[in-house]
Amino acid sequence: MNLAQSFRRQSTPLILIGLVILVALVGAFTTPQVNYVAVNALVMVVTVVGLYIFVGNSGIFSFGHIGLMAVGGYTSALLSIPAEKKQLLLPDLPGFIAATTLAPELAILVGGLVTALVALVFAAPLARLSGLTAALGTLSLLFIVNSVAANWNEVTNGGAGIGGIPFATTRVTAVVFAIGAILVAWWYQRSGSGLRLRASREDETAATACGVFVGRERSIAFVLSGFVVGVGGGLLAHQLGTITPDAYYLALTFLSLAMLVVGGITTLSGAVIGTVVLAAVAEVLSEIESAAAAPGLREVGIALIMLVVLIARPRGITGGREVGEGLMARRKATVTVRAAQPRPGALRIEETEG
Amino acid sequence: MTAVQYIVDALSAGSLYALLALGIALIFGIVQLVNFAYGELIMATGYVLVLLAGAPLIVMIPLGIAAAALLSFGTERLAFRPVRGADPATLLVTSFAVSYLLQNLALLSFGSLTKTVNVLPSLTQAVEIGGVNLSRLDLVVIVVTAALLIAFTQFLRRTATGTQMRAAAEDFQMARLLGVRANRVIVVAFILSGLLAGVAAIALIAKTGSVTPNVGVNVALFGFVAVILGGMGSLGGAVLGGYVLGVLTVLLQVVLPEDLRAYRDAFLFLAVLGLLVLRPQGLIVATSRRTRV
Repeated sequence: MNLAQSFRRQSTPLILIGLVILVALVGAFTTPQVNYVAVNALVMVVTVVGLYIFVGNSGIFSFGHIGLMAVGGYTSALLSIPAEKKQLLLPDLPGFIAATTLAPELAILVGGLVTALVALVFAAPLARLSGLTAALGTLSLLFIVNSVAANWNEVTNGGAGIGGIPFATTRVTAVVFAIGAILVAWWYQRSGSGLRLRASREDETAATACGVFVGRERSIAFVLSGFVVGVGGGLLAHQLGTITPDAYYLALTFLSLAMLVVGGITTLSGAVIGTVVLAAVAEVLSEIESAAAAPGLREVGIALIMLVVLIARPRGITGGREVGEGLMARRKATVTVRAAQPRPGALRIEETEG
Repeated sequence: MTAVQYIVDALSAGSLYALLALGIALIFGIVQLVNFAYGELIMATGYVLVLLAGAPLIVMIPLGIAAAALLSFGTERLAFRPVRGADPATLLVTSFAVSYLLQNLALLSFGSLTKTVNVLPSLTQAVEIGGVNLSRLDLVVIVVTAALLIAFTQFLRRTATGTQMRAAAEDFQMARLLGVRANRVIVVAFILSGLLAGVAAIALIAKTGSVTPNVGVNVALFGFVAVILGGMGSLGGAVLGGYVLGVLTVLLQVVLPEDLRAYRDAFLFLAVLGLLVLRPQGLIVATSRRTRV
């Protein structure tokens, strides 16, 4: 395989990585305000790509991932706030958490691991449920996490939340994690497990008949996506500097799903492009919202965009295709046409292998 | 609190969930849509009650219920009809977007502040029966729900439209081939589902007395959980799921020790997940939902 070929085969993640680097560069060369929006968009890329790993590959919508994100956010926050500060804020914290202070980047990764563990616990019931019931089952995950976060005062400080989280999500951190998330998702969707899960998304019965253990593949994707989303949660906590149960609830669930749907749920390109596009649109809308003093305008706009995409272009703006796939796909298409119209009396099989 | 009070509490909460679950299951059975925007029908009734505050009950209540039915009809026309026939996951997300849109439209028009309204002031006092104090409203809700459920069953069994709806829920394609008019059945289902939401909304708002843009979100979610619990697609299952959920809520309130009571909802949802692990198809499995290969 020559270099051009291998480049073409990996062109999707390369283009997407280029896109997130571009977002970071836009942040670097403009105002601090735009920079903040760009960093937030990158954090959302991590989150939505994490969501995509489960939703896109399994075809089951999840309303619980923002709950997982909260787990990552709280874990990372609690592990990275300096010990003296923690003593003041949360005097009843269990000893080992109170004593530990990790570097924020490390805490974010540990947050991802803890989230993956929580996801593992919930994967068992979800694996047993059929598609739609599983989607609604994930809602219970969101409520359980929210209810615990809002009431476990010794650890989460209840509804008031935790402040003083080190501002560690810089442009560079965010872009590095976004690239990592894209590579993990790309690797998973082309792995054996990913392909089997995608087969079950297209036709669960047929996939089962071919020997795919759907529940197992679903669980693997759920845990992996839990890890990535948990990392996203940590990044968000370290960008905002505070974490409250309400910040990781229905509003963020809606926004992340809208980003995925607008981009197109079945492709990684959809997850990344949808996030970047919607983050930009959302920012413009919130400018208008604050100028017109009309709270709710931003959300109305996002909901309308989402509805229009669902009705007019149900496969999202990427149309169900990975970016960079076009070149190869078009070549294949011409081959098919040639094979389908053989010259009379001169059917040669070699032609199909052009 | 005595046992009688607990039972009344459980039945009253269960009645509310059962009404909502029935409205949600009705739509789901026919068009495979899990209508997330169901909570916003409750909200619509709520704001109409706020706007009509002070008007006689005979005006307020019918108009309040009509608002939910009208909104239900409107969402079908504008949002759900264009995506009809898409896979259930897409429908689910569409209704999620509709729900969010309606909530934020309400936020735009009415603001985020809580509006208060006193719907049935005569029912807020307690009544003493056999030495225990019971809420009149709870008793009325239980009786009205029971009456509605009976009327609804009769409608489905005795009328032509009802029979067509049951046929459509069983096998929509087959029903159409036999001459059932799809649009008509679907529109009737949406309106009925809206009426049920309206009645539930009156009961809810009479109890809490307050309306916000997201007033319907939590109760509607309990409705969904009741539907899943009962077995998706089975109307009887949905009603049963509603009552089971009501009993579970009160049971947890009683059984949980004081310091864990704040986590009641977390335990409730854990219990529901646990039940689903044992019976992934729900309590009652509708024949139409079995996968045939």
